[in-house]
Amino acid sequence: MQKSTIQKLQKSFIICLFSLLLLASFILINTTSGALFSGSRLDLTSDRLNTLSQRTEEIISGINKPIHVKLYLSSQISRQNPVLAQYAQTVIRLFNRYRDKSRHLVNIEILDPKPYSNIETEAKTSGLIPLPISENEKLYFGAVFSDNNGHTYTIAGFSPERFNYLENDISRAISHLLMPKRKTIGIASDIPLMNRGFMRAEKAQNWTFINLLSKDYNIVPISLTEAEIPNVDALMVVATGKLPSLFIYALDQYILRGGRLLLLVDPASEIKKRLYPGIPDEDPNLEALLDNIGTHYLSAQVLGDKELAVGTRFAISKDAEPQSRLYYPWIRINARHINPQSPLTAGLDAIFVATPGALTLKNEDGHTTESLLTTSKNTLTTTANLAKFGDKADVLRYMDEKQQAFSVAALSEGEYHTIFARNPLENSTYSKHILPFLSTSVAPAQIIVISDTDILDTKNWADGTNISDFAKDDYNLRPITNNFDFIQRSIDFLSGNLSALNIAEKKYTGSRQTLAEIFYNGEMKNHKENYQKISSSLEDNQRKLDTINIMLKSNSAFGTAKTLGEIDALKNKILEEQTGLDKIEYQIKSAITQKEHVIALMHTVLIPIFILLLIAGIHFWFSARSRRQARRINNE
Amino acid sequence: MITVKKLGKNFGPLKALDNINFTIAAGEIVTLLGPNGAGKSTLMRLLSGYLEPTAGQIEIFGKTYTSNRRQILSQIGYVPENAPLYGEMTVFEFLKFMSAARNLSAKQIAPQISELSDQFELSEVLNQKCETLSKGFKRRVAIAGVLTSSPRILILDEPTEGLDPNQKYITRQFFKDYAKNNIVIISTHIMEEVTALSSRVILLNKGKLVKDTTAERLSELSPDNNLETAFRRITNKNK
Amino acid sequence: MSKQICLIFQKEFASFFRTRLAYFILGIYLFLSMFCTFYLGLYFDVINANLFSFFYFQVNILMLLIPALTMRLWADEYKTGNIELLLTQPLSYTAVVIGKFLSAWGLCLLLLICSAPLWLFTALNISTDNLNILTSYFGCFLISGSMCAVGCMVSAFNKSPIVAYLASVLLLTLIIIVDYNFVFNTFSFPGNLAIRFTQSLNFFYHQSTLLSGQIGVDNIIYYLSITVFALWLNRITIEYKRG
Repeated sequence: MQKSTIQKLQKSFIICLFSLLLLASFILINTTSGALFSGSRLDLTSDRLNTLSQRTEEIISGINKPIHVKLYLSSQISRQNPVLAQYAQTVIRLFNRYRDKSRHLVNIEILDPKPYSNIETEAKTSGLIPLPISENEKLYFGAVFSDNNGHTYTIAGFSPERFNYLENDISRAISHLLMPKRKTIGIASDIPLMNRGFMRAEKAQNWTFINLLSKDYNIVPISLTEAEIPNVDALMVVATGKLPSLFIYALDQYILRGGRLLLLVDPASEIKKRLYPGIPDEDPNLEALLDNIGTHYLSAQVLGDKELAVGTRFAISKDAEPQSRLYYPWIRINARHINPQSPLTAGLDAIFVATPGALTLKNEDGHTTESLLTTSKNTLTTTANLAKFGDKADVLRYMDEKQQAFSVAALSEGEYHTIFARNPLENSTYSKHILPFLSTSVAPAQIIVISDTDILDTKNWADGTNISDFAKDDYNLRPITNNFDFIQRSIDFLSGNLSALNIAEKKYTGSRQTLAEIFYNGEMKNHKENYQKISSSLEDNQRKLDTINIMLKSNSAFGTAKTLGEIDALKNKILEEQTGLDKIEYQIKSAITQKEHVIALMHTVLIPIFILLLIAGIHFWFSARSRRQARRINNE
Repeated sequence: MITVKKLGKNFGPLKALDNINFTIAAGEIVTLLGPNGAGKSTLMRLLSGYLEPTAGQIEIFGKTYTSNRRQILSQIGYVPENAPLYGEMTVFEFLKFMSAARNLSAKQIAPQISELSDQFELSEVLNQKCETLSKGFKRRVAIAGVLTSSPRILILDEPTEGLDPNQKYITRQFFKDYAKNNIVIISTHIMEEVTALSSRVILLNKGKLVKDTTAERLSELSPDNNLETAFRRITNKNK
Repeated sequence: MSKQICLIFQKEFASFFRTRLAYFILGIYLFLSMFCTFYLGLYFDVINANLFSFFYFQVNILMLLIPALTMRLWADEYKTGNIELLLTQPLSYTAVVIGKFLSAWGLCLLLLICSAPLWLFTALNISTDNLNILTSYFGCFLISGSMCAVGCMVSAFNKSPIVAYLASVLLLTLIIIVDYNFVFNTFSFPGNLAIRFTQSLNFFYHQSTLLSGQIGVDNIIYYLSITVFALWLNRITIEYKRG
């Protein structure tokens, strides 16, 4: 071989070798920097969107075994729905943070459940629910967490509606796997909260909060006829009326044996009013028990609050038009009236209670009480019966001003005495089958008292497309108040599930509104008056029609020609008004579409042209300067 | 001073230059003469540092390209064949760029361009884009470009091609003047140019240095004392 | 050295405008970006506090346009023979390579700046997360830098700008879509190690981190290392092709 060829080959070899070395160093540098720095990132988003909360960090640092996350994400989602595509990125990013922070103990596998594939079957079996965005295809976006011992936890579906709760949901899932033995929560209630099989089909479903709680806990129903509370990690009692005295005995003894009790007691339960309209009942008979634990309960009194009340539409008298006004017994307790010191309520923003009872607290020997939720000092009270059976106008009319803050929820901890002077079951058949009577505590108990049951009502704390009292799945749930957080934390606290406690909603200050929504609101302002007028007239007519229909049903003789004519006229009017509303909606939508087109055109065509002209101008200026310089040189 | 020792350049199996040795001192004007494919352009590219030799060594003012490339290049002005220019630039912009590339300070640039524009009669095209220039102007602009830094060695590949007779005359006169204190190396296959510059001639044929002599002596090699005949005789003989 | 880089930068940057290429690219970039933002990214229907609709498509758009910027940087020099003129000036190769690269990167910066009216418009209508947007812009700038470097390198291999363009787009597509999983699956690396490797070398991973408003040292190192690697290959190519 010629010397030159050898030289050239040598040169090529050296270059190849050097390039390979460079490639190797490229890989080495990046893997090293990835290992060193991927866990520490500067989060420059204003709401620290990518930063995990302190509590989550604690949970992650407690991870001592591999946790596998299978993230099922249908690839069609990104193509069909940019909003979900955006959210999918957020979810994946957050999972990556968990993985990086846990030094890869949490490992993530992203799977695409294509229709009719094995992965889809796997997703279905694991409990994932298809997203309600496409009728033709079943699209999935959920996760299954598992550990090496075969324990699993499923998030059936991620929804942008639950954006603020995303980290909470994931952290709970992980914390659940870290503590695989599920705690048992007993629920005793005098209104149907769980599928007990004795109600009509539509009501024979679990309540949303029970569905959510059952992700973390075994929920067992406890009958109100029990004389002894079975062995549970915590007990939740919902009392809207009189409880059997035997059950009160059971509660008393449960407390003395160091029970963990969440007691919801309501002088006027709106849920019950809705479920059993017109059925009279009595107030809860728990005063003695509540007094005994340091939470005095104003018997048969309903609280109102002028400062914290929320508005609703109702007629102030029978002939008057319904108007928006404050309804004092509906109270939105804000952060200023929520105890920031207690781990049960720290960081919560709003709790909604409806027609609650009033608690006053006192500390006695052996136990302490601490208020968790209070009203403002602008309180009023009225009788529970009026709240239950009167209309809103009457309730407001007969409220007495109290000028005193009351507690709506409180925590009592410590040791107590029995409320009974002597064993009421002495010599009865029960006494043989149950534990012996205690007159004083043998172990410290923890009791959380909430003087409202409507706090559990889904519509009082969540918003979403599938919301009803008995929402089957919580897929689209968007919490609007912290009611559920509070209940969940209470259960976490009482059952000793401390690792899950206090992972709460993440607060975001940035705009969570789309421009389309902003434009809609803006346009709506122009039509608001007209819209409200038509819709309130529509409501009235609808009500009139309903009344006539009810009367028709109950009294067939009522159906005279005049009445029928009235019905027709009302129906026509309703139709006309509905068309009117549709027209306004159409006008708003057209205006928005037009606006959007103009904006898009402006950014796609006009602004680019303007920018190009501007740059051409600058370029021309530079060229002219150069030409002037050249001319000057020529002249010189 | 340029010293070329045992210089060789191969392009794959092709030996473009083989065992070339010569020395050029300041004040010399050297014409590289040879038929097409003799290796003139390759030799110039080697001298200008664009190509790396396969064998041998080039020393310029005692320095080699391997260790002092930029220092040497600042002493050399090289205009390749076809005088490439940046077509989208105006002549003024091109001269300005070349001045800056050749390390002229901002203050020096304007007077230098002014002088070169007079010298090569470029004033009327200063604001014209290079791509619109005629061949002759292009060549003059390219030469002016490398002259902005007054290099001590000027290497020009067929510099008068495309120039009109007046321009040819002026340019040759300029080379003669410039070579008084510097080195000028020109490649050509136009005999008239060799005679006009009455310079030292390095005759290349098939990559080999055939003759290193003066124009007069080269013409003496033919019976009719004609340079062209001598050229033909030597290059044909080698065939 | 910096003076030389500056000189080459000025020459090339001005040349983008002299050849009208800059206007062409800028026009297409703004049109494509805005079209994607408004019509594919559903700008009005997505929460755009961080200009998600805009940044979602940026990498793909830049991947198509940057090779058009870089394709002629070296290929044209070879094609017109100007390379001989350029490389026989007393300029260091590194300065020429960096100067050319910076001119393309500078134009990318201009492209990104020209999209700012959208930011302004959005900020006037909703409360935007400006620091997040700025981080995303910084991410795009870094990404465009690595793309420019790859484009320059490919251009240095070719005499034809069209070939350089197509080859650059192909190479960038490969770099962006390949997730290296197959490498680790083939050699059956242990799970965690494989994930670390794939993550560290994955273009999309670093891109999504930056565009989500986070900055990590590893992200910056990744893009800078691509840039440096490509520029170094560019320099080698120039010297190698010189013969």
